[in-house]
Amino acid sequence: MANVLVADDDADIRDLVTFKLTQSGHEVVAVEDGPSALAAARESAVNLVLLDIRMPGMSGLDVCRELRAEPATSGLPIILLTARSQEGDVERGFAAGADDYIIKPFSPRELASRVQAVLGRAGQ
Amino acid sequence: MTTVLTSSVFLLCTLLAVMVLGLLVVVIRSIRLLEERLRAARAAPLRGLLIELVCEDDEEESAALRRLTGLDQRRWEALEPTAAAMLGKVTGRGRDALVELFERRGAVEGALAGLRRRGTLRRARSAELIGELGHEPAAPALLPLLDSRDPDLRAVAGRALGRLGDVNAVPALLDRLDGHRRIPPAVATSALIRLGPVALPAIRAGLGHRDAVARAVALDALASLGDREATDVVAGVLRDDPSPEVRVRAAHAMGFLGTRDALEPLLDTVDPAHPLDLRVAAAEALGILGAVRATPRLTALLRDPSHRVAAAAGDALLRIGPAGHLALDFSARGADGPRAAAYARAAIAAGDRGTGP
Repeated sequence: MANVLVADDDADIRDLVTFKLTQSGHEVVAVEDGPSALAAARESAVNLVLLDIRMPGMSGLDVCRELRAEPATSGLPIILLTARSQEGDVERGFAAGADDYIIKPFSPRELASRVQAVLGRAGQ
Repeated sequence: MTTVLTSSVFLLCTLLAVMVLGLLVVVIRSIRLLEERLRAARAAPLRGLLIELVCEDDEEESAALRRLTGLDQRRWEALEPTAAAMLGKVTGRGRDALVELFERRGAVEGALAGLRRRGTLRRARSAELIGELGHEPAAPALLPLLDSRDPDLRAVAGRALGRLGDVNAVPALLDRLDGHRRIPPAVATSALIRLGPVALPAIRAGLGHRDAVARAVALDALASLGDREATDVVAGVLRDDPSPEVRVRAAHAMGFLGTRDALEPLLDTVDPAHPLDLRVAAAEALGILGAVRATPRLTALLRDPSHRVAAAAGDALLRIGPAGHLALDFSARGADGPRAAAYARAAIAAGDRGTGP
């Protein structure tokens, strides 16, 4: 079981991810923008972060870079959520330090498996 | 005096009419907002059930599906837009479960009936739902909407047709890029791409369309779908199409198709005998193609009298990778003259800044 932080400005996506990961036995904190994600990652004991790339205020890529730059959060596994039409963002995401990415629309079952795999690779 | 009075009365009446009209718009908008809020409030308690349905792992019929199928019509109507929005957000079993729910609720029949309604909004929603459900047999019913007087409805129908997988939609979409009631090229392009590989022969046929915009859209779709078999026919368009803009698109498409056969036609096209825009596009396409064999020609183009061609050649060399970078380094040191050195240095600097192609 892990503590997962989910950041997406789409309420449906937040709720779907929260339900699926909770069903898989994880604790989930869901926020709707970049600054809140950054604050939650700093303040709570998070084991993995799921970030939508396109969010108002601060993009998922910027959050990813900030997390990687801070010693306390630099080792956190990060998965990016991106729309099919923004696949060019994936390359930038890996450059920003992301561990994996998931294309929207996504299969909730596959998302849970990918989270499990990334957590496994991170030894959590 | 009478004229002044008449003018004043006319002005007053016009002002009154504008105020009444404005008030009417505000009232209608408020009613719609209220209706939407009421709908959202009725849907809220059922949204969790929908999430449960989408995330359910069991292959068997789930309790959530049974309960949602059994909802009374009023509550289903409140929940339907939320469920329709979720269709576009999930794939796999979650999406299948949603489609099954819509089928059980008779939503396809309802949407087909909705396509024949008078209201534009109702028809657009119906078209959108049919597209989201991917109900291919409904494609013929969507085609007439491409001729609608409302441009938004035409665009919605175009997008929906792209989701249905019926290749007969290809000529219909390409035909609607011209004329009085047309659809935006971007809508047609994304619809063709969405139709996928099954539509490739029909899209290739579109390269012979009478309308230049249709041919350009077909080229973009073939390039996005990576139709390597189309290289020869795209090379023909690059060489012979009467429209300069279409030939430019063909050059870019050749780059994206990425086959060996694309190299020679592109190398021919950078020749000074061709129009400037086409030469620039061909140089860019050589970079996209990433062919090491293009390096000597691109290096020579760094000396081209045209700024745009020389700059495009520099960017293309950068894009080609190590062989291109090596050529840029040599040129930057003056091996090909001062003009080439300047363009090589500019390309290297753009690469260092991360602002290159």
